Amino acid sequence: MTGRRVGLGDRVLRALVRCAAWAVPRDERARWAEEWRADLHDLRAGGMSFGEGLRWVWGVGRGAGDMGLQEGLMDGWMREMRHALRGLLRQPGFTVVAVATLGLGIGANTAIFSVVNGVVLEPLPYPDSEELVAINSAFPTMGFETFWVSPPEYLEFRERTRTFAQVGAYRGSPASVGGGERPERVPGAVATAELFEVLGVSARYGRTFGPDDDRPGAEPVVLMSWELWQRSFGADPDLVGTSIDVDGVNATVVGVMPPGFDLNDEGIELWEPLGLDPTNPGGRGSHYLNLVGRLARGTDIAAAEREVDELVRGWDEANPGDMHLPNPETHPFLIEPLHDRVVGPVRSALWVLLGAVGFVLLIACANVANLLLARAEARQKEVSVRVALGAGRARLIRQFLTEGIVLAVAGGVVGVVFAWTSLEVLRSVGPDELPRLGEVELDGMVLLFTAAVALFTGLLFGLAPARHIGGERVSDSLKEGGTRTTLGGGALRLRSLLVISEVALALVLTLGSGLLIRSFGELVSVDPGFDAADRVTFQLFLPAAGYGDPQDSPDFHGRLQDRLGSLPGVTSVASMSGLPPMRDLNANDTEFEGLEQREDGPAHNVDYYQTVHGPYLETMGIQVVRGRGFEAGDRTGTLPVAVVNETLARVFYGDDDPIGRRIRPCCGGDAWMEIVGVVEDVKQGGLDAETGTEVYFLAEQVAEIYGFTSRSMNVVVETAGNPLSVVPEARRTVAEMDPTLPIAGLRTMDEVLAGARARPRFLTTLLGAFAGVALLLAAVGTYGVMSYTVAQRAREMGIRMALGAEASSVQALVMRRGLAVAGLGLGAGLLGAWWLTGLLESLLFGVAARDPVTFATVPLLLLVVAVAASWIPARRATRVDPVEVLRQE
Amino acid sequence: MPIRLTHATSLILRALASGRRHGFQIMQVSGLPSGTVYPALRRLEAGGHLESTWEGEASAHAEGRPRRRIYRLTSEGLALAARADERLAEARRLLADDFGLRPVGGGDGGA
Repeated sequence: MTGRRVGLGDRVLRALVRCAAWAVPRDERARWAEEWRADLHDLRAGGMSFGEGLRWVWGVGRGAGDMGLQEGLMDGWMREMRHALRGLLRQPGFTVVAVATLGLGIGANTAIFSVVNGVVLEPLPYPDSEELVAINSAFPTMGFETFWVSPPEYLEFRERTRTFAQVGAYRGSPASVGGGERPERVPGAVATAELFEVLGVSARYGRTFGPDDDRPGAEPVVLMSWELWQRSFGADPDLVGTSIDVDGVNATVVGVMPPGFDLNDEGIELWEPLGLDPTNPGGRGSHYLNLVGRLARGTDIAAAEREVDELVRGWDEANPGDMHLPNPETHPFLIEPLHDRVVGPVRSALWVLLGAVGFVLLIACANVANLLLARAEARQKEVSVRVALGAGRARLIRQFLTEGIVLAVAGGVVGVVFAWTSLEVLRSVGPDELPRLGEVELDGMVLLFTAAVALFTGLLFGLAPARHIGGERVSDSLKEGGTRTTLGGGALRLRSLLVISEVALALVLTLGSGLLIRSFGELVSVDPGFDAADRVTFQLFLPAAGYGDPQDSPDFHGRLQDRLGSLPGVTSVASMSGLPPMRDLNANDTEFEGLEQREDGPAHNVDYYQTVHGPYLETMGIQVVRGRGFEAGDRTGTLPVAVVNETLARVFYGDDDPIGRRIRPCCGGDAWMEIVGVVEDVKQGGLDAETGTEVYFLAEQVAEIYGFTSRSMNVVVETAGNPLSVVPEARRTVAEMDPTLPIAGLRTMDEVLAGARARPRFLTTLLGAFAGVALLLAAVGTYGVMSYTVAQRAREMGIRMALGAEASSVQALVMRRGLAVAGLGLGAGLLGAWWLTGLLESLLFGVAARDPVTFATVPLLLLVVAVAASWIPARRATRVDPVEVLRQE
Repeated sequence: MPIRLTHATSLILRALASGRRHGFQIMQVSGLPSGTVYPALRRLEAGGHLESTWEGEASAHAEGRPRRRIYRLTSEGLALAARADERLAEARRLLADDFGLRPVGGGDGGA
């Protein structure tokens, strides 16, 4: 025999031989393994197939194990483990159901816990991130709970506070990047040089901004994210130090940030210096900065709050009461951990989800416990005999515990696989809905959590049958003889109790998800104020470099609209500065002619400015309720006009007619604009938010009168149907007009609307799925207990029927029992839900946490499920053959 | 340790009666599954009925395979094998008489 080539099959078999050797007592293990290896080698050389090899290895391992068992050489727990494994493999149906149920519970828990861990529990990915705080302002009397900070406030804040080591500032500001493979619009930010010092992150290549970059008139420089560098610049190692085109300006790339670097989950890919001029920082009324501070060593957030509160009280003693100066009543600062700022919006939703999967796991455990109980009872006679023959109770308890643990471990393995798959799915469906989702992974802590859950589960339901057996008197169970009589009340009570808790937990989950579904329904039925169907939108940014004159942008959009409007299938085209239904608040100070700013009246400030071009109201399907909309005759040189929404008319003019009144927008010339129309409200701050006040202006009039131009405009194209069919032509048209302009955010308006509902939909879908699983498990549990009851009472049923009982009355007997169990569960569940749904309050929209409709209908649904689950066993009870049953005596 | 003269043990004794063999050959000759052979060999060895040695490193190395464990019967083992043979023959005769079955098991057990 000569040496053979060693293939993969041989290697696998050899590894398996090594595993099989664990069944051999330790002192002989090495010898056996070597001997087996030699024999395996000969067998394979003799032409044994891989499949036969597997069987051979299984055989040697089993043989060794059996021998160990017979000779008592195996360690006690090992023996129990083998015993448990064999017992479980003998009943594959039971095992598959139990392991799958547990795997589902554990897997869902692991997946959701991974998300909670990655998003909420893990510190932010900056050094000493617990020292980082987000600093915002607020205008509580105007209803703005979180607001930006103005540049003068930022400079003062940085100079006056002592509890901060450093304070940086930034604002989101998308940028068009050329010079790579193609022009591209990317999420960007302008930031102070201090920001990077605060975050404690250096560039991977090159450097971050220095003081010389961050001053007015400095040479333009940019920092790039690792991802943008990889994606659009081919990871060019020589990029740092060269120039790229940013919004039509040549800017030097000074650095590339490390992979994953971001702030506040904004996906920022390009950083530019803010370039504040300390001698002329700009208006106090102009709030647009986000501040991030690093607490000085030895201080904490409470000390910082105390200091800032103290400072705010005397911020500018020369000008008390000025609304725009920081003061405790109308314009305080808010300080919170940066971590809270990032994950705050989803934290409660994630905890609710974690609670929900916890419930699913509990239900799964109850179900498996039920299965184990049923199995234990079926083996009761065997167990009694073993006890009678001298098997110790401790030994039996150990056996049940081992079975539970083996099941839990198998379930845990299935669960990890399931969790891993679900995380992949979650990552692919929820990237925009959850912050930090990119950081989520199945990590050690999560695995530890799963292991703990699996073990807890094993102990929990492992003990249930053990306790039951321990309480049984041997002679009783021998007399009862297994299946013939109604079982000792204890077992049935325990099983009924499990089903009651399952039903209760399932009801809480179903109620919770019912509330979310209703709330989502409310959200879907919110009228956004515009028509989304058959419309497509995209964003264009016209850089100052090529479009310096204020009228350049309106001119460009006018030409673009003419060209797009002539495409086949296009019915109307317009442009707007802000894309409803979700965009940043403007909150611009606005003068209202003839209206006094009263102490108790609304502040003269408008939530949203909308600068439009073309037949905007018609294209978006926004209805004019009073006066008129913009007309073709409204343009440069004619009367400056404005259109307001119903909310603005009501807030500022009450019962008066706003038509013909005049307003003056902030920060520009002296000219007044005349209100010519009132339109229906359009959602701008999210579908679930109260509609704010809004004014519509015409782009060319704003450019003419105030010299102001909105560089970033959203084009909306109304089509006769199938809006995406016009996209290729629209792209070509834009490219023909200016090939350097990137098209960003191209979506149908239906997708825009769906995006605004994405987070609640994500939550509703997940919770709905959990509730569905819970319902299914509870139904299986109820069915199991009722089937069991029927089987136990078959003799009684038989005798009843033999004595002339109607089938219907026997059926009713079983149904009554099933419904009693379900009813108790529903009662307990209602009590729990009444208390727990309060936690959902912040996640609900348009539905009360104790919504009577949901609380009335969902229990009915569960009742129907319980009836169905009892119905089948009840039918079976009526088919009991009295002769058959009595013959078994 | 007393040896129960099971059918499997008998077949193994028989396979070894004709000379030294290693585990793989015993399996081939006796037709017994792997899970049975090794524990039985171990019991026989523990009972002093057979002894085993590793083959030389050199020959295994030359053929590029792991060392084989070679088994041979002791004098007690040979006696037991003889008894087992009698039992096997008896069993075969009984089976053939009662049920007209053909004898089972390998003939002389040549490799």
